[in-house]
Amino acid sequence: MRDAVAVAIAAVGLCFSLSGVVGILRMPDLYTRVQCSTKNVTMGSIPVLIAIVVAKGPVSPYGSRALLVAFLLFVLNPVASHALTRAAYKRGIEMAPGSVVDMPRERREG
Amino acid sequence: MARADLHRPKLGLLLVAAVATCLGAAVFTLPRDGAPLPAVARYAMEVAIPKWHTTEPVNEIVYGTRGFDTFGETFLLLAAVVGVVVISRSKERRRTVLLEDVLASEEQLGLRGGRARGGQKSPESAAAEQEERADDSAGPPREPHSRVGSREPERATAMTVVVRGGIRAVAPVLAVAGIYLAAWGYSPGGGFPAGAVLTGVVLLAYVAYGHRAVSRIVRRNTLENLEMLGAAAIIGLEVAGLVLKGSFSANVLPLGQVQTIRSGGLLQAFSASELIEVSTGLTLVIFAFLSMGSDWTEEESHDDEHGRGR
Repeated sequence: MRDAVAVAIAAVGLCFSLSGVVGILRMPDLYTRVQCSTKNVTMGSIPVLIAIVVAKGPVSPYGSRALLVAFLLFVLNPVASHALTRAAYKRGIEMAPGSVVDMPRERREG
Repeated sequence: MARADLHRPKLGLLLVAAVATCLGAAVFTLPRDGAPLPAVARYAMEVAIPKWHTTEPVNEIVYGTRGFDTFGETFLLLAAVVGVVVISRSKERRRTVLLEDVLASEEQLGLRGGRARGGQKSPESAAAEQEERADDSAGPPREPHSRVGSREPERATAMTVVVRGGIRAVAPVLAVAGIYLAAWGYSPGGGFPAGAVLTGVVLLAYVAYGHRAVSRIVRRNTLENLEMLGAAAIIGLEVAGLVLKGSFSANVLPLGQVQTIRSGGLLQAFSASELIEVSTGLTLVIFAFLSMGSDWTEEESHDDEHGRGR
């Protein structure tokens, strides 16, 4: 039973990873691609780590390490994406043609 | 046209099949459960507990049986660190005036086609440099004050509140995890990876708060002294084995109980010294590169001080 739950959670992570990879390949510009790669880590890797915690228990040698790594990823991954995207915007990297929202520009101009 | 369309999927399939074949072959040639161990591995397994009281055979090899290799590696790293620090050092304060920059200035001007080209700066970067020089000594790190949408050059020394908050939450956890890697002797490699993790913590702080804020805490002199201390400890431990037991890297320390922080005797001491050595060494190298910057003489001030006699 426990193993079945773990496998299910890991499968969810795998599905998100797959969709993230497709997104990285298919998305039109940097900002949307960063969004996909962020999802790859947050919804792709963390469920796999949670699956380890479920299968082995949170205070076991494997589970505790997986929790630690999950915490680090959970905090650092959005931070890194934020810094990357902000720098890209500051550098003036364009959005894909057809994008409809550019709030900083609206604020600047409006 | 149809052929051109098929080119990408075909190439992709071919590459995926090749990778799958390699991975499959690797999986099927993995040693089975009951396969005999290689001689080195068997030796490490046999001596790890009786001779060293450690349950981590990798550490037994790295710091015990092959201690001399690790010793050599460590001092190779030390030599590399010394090389980088020597090459990248900033100008030292001089006791005497040699005036070579003044004497060579005519030649320099001829080469560069006049001062204007060498000294030309955009007004923004000149202002940013001025600002940087002005608060060289004090004050909290500056946050990004320009709006996200603007195109002006980034003058902040720290990153946004998101980055600083995230790193503040993560850095202590990462530092403890790094020390844990070395402190309990169960993780393969001990001091080496732990030192790299601690360097990562310093780098994260640098990313979040900027060079000046970090260099106020991570002082070069302290790091250099610590590194030499680590190196001296390693030499002392290894040579003690040579003197007392007649063999380099032989254990001379009391062995603690298995699976406690004090198990492993000399392995643990070597690993801890390695932690100091690697973390300070890598940090020194990175900060040496980061603080290289431009190191040109301020020609005007020199002219004021020394050029009057000409």
